[in-house]
Amino acid sequence: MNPGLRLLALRLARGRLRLVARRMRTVRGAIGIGATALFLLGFAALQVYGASHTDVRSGIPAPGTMRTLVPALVTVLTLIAAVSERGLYFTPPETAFLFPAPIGRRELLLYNLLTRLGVQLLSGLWVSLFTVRYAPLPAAAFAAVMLAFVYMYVAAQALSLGAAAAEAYLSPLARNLARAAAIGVVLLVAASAAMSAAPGTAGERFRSLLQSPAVRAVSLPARPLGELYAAATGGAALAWGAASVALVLAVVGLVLSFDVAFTERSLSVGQRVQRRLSRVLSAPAGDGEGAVHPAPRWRARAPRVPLPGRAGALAWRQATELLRTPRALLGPLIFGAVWLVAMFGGMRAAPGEMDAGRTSVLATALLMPVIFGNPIPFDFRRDLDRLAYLRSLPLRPTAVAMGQLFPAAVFFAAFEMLVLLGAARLTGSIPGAWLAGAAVLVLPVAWGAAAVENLLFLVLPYRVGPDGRAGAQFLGKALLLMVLKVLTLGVLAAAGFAAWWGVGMLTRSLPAAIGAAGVVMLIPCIPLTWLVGRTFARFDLTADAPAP
Amino acid sequence: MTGPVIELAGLGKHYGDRVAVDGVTFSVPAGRIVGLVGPNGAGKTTTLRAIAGIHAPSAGTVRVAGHDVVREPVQAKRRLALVPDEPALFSSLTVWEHLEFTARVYGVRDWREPAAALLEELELAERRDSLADELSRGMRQKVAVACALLHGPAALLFDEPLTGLDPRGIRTLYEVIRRRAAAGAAVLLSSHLLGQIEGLCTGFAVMRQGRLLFAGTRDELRERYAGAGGSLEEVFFHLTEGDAPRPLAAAP
Repeated sequence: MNPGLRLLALRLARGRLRLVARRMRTVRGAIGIGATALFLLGFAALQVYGASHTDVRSGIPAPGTMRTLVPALVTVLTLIAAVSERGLYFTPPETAFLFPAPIGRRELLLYNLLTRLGVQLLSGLWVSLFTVRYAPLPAAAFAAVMLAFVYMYVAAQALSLGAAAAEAYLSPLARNLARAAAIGVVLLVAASAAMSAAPGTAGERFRSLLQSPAVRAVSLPARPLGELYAAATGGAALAWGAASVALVLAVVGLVLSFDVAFTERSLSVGQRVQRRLSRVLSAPAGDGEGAVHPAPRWRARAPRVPLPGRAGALAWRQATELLRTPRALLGPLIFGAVWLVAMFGGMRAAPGEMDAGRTSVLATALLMPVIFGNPIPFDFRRDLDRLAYLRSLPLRPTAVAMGQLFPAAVFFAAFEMLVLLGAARLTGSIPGAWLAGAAVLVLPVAWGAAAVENLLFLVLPYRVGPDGRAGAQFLGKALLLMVLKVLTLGVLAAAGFAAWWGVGMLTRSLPAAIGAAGVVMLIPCIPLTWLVGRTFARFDLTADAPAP
Repeated sequence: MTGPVIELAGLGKHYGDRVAVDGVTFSVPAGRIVGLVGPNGAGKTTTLRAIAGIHAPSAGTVRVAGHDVVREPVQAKRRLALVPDEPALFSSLTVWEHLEFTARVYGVRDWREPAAALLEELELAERRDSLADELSRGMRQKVAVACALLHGPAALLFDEPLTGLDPRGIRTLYEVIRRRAAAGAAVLLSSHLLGQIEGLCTGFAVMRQGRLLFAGTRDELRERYAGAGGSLEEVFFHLTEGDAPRPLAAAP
């Protein structure tokens, strides 16, 4: 490999450590990194304890399930990575320095593979903490997870290069035909798998879906990883481990042997990723000259919101931008689907049984904002580079806070209701009155969560980089946020419950009890919003904003 | 080298049905500074990226120092440098480490002395140990320029180089470019403001909607479009805001 590339890879690794050390010198950085370290250590200790004590280990799923679940998951994640255009991603400094430099195509690809390997292995390490306990041999499962992350990255690169080759060598007609064929295959597989799913609970249907010939055929290349994960003996683990390593090396060989000029595609992918992250996470980015943007036929537009203090204009702006960024809603939808399957997948109450439904309403309404955070960052978090502009507006800080929080709270409340309706459908045990009650209560809960989220963001701001990577103290801030949310939502819930119980006892009317709880829970949101406004007004633009 | 260092022959680039660059032909000899001018969307950046071997041409050829950038990309790139419009630096590397890395990539031996001289020339000597994210935009731009100059390229490509520079920075950059051209480098710099670079450039290539409207020396430009008005800026507006462009080709 080019000696400059080797030097760059080493210097970048050292540079990241240097940035962490520099952040540690500030109080905010030290708090964030310290909390991150505590979080990681505590979590790892719990997982290791759980994995090493058979009495606390969860039931191990049947090896047959894992043999198909792991390859299917790996295949789906690989396809998502390839479709989301991260396969050939180079950061802006890399494109600026390396693309015009006298570096061969393979060298550049090898550099990309090796420098991203660390992130893949760290991700694998993190995921293995959650997953090894479900395998017969934890060591084999650990190896399988680590290799799976490397495989997913190189396979996504191979698919991206294949797409680049198709662009370079196929005529527009042939490309369209190939694209239609690919979509057709995906639909065929999905339809075939859905048809072969056996009736029963969601869990049973999911298991039969995994065993369907279509899913098994599509995930066949990743099969060695599933076998390694489910290996029950040392011999099997060694054999499937060797097969998995061979699989990864074969894909690396495939990537390096693709004779296709990828820099142009990488550049456009990089620009798209930049623009998308800029839209979703921070300030607007200029469009590069030469970029192709077909004008949309129709643009979504949020209705005007009559909020006091002219905060409605800000709320309208955030909501309209959110509606025009449909990809921003993709993450929450995936979260919601995962939550539904995880929480309610196998749950179906007996006729007349309501406990499960009530529990799920409470769990969803209160736990979702704590666990997920607000996955729709259309508030102060997205406006880190626009704080100067927001400060220049002739609005009171509380009005700015209200305008910024309103869309995030409303969209999150709507998202929660969507999940609740899904849960009601899956379990069949959530009474209509409880759903109506939830419709009233999710807004104060979502508002409280958004206020806490933004408050902590303004006290300990962070920036997600153009490559999607956050600072080292990001997890620590997430932990602090979770604790603060538990406290705040706990207070809100207690106040709401007291009002519910009190008014319910007095009036014997469920609507009155729900209404009272909603009002009582909304009241603390007022000082919270004021506090967010005060923190925004005191934010030091020159010292507090992290460097881009 | 006596012949043209940068040669474009019928360069075309299209994205699906959209034509970004259409049959552009011109060349830049050693020691010349050519301004690639045109309004936004004229195809300047695409042209520069094609010369730098980043965009594969859809038609035509591009040669740098005699090497075809498609067939001999590594040899061609060894002789050129591109300074992009947005100075994207590695935020966790220092200024000096950027130069060290560039020297390794291009195989520059004994790079420390020239690197230190470049930092002096670009008024960055005091910031050599600063991390990239501690620098202002103008300083980052200068670091990108220093890295581009370190291997002594025969062809220097600048994409909107004046963006973000203060008047002092612009003057410094002008001097740096003039010195490199006097030493024999072929310089091609893009700008959408002809008036800003007319004092620097000895030749111009004017583009609009992906097509080359004019390529020649400053005097030829004045001579050909004298009727348009006195200043080159007025000539520029005349050329780029008229009716459908009439492509012309000549060596600047």
